[in-house]
Amino acid sequence: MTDPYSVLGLSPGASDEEVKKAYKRLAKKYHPDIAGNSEEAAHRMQEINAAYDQIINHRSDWQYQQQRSSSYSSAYGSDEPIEMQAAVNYINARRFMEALNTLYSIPEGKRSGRWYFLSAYAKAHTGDTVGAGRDIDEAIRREPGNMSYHAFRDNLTGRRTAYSGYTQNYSANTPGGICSSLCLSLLFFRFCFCFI
Amino acid sequence: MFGYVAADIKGLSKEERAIYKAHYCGLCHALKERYGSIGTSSLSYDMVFLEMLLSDLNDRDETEGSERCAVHPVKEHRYIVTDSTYYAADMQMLLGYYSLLDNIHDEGKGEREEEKYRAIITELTRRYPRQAEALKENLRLISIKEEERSKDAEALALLTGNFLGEIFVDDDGSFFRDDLRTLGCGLGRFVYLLDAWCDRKKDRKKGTFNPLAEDIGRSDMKDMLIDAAATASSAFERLPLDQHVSIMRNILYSGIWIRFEVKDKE
Repeated sequence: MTDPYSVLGLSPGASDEEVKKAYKRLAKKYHPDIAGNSEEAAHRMQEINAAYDQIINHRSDWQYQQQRSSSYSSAYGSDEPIEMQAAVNYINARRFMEALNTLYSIPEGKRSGRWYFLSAYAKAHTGDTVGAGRDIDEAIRREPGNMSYHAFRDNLTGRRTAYSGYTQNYSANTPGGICSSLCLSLLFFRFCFCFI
Repeated sequence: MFGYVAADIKGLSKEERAIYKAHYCGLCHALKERYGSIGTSSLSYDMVFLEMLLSDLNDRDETEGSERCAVHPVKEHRYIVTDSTYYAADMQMLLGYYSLLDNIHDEGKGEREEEKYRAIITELTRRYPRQAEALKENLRLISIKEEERSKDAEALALLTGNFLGEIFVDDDGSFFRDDLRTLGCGLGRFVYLLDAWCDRKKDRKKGTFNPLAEDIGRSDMKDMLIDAAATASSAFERLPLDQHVSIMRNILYSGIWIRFEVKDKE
C-alpha cells in the first residue's frame, strides 16, 4: 500500500490545509484540459483522488475494501438478499443514491439490522441525517451488541455537538480569527467504517 | 430562492467583503449577460454561495472586470466571473422559474413573467435534465404534502434538500459529487426549516400552510436547524477548498443564523 501523503508529494502528518492545496495543484496539472486525454494522466488522477480520500475521509485503500467486501457473502451466509452485496459495492464506490435505491428494492420483511445500518450510512452521505438517525436506532434495536452501529450513532451526534461548539466560537471571534483547519479537523468526526 | 445563505458581513475583513461583493456582482453580471433583466431580478445570495464554492473547487481561471449597473449607476464596481459563475446563473434561473410558478399557484400573480421565462426554461431543462428533473419532482412531492397539510417538517425539508443537493452537483462525474450533494442537501433542509420558522406567525394568522407544530419552541427548532447545518458543514470541510474558505465558513457557521437570531428577538 503506497503512503497517501507521498502520492500528494507531502510528508506524513501534513495538515489538512496542506493536503487540500497539494490536491488542487495536482488536480490542475492532470486535468484533461491541460494534460490531454492521456491514460497516464487519468491513472495519476485516480491515485491522487484515492490518496485524498484516504487522508481526509480516513478511508482505507480501495482495493483493500474491495477484497473485504468480496468475502462478505461467505461471512453473512446465503440467506441475505443478493441486493445487499450490490448495495455494499455501491457504497464502496461512493454511489450512495444507487446504494439507497438498491436497498429499498429489498422488501420490508427481509430487512435486517445490517440493512438498517447500510441505509443509515448511505443516507448520512446524501445529506439525510435525520433518516440516518432513525435507521441507526432501528439497527441498534435489532442488534444491540454491534459496536460499529453504536460508533456510527455517536458519530452522528458528535457532528452536531462539534458544529454547535464551533458556531459559538465563531461569532465571538474577529474576522479571520479561528478558521484554522487544525481546530476543525479535531472537531469534526468523520465517517469511516468498514462493511464487514 | 430564499436568500438565507448569506454572509455575516460584520464578521468579514475589509478584503473579504470586497471579494464577496465582487462575486455577488459577478453572478449578477453573468445573469444579465445571459438572460437580461429577467435574470438579474432573480439574483439571490444562496446562489452566490454556490458560485463561490464551485469556483473554488473547480479552480478555473477568474475573469475580473469593472462596470456600472442599474443598481449602482454612478460608481464602477469590480466583478469576478469563472465558468462556475455561468453554471450558478443557470441554476438561479431554474430556481427562479419554479418559485415563480409557486407564486402563480399561491397568489395568482406573475403569469406574464412566466411567458418570458418559458423559452429559457425549455433550454435549461434540455441542458440540465438531472437538475431540472430533481427540482420538478421534489417540488411536486412538496405540493402533495402541502395539500395534505403535513406536519412532518423534516420530510418536507428533505425534499427541498434533495433538489438543492442535485443543483450543487455541477458535474455528476466529479469525484466530489457526494460531498457537494450532502452540502446542498443540508443547506436546503436548513433554509426550508428556517423559512417555515420565520413565516409561522404570519401563516397562523392567515391560515396558510406551515409544516411546524403550533407549539414548537425555540430550542427544538434550533436542534433541527443545527442538524441540517452540521450536515452541510461537515461535507464542506471534506472538500479541497483553498480560496474563499474563510468567507464560506462565515456563511456556514454564522451568516445562515442571522435571520433566526433576528426573528428570535422580535
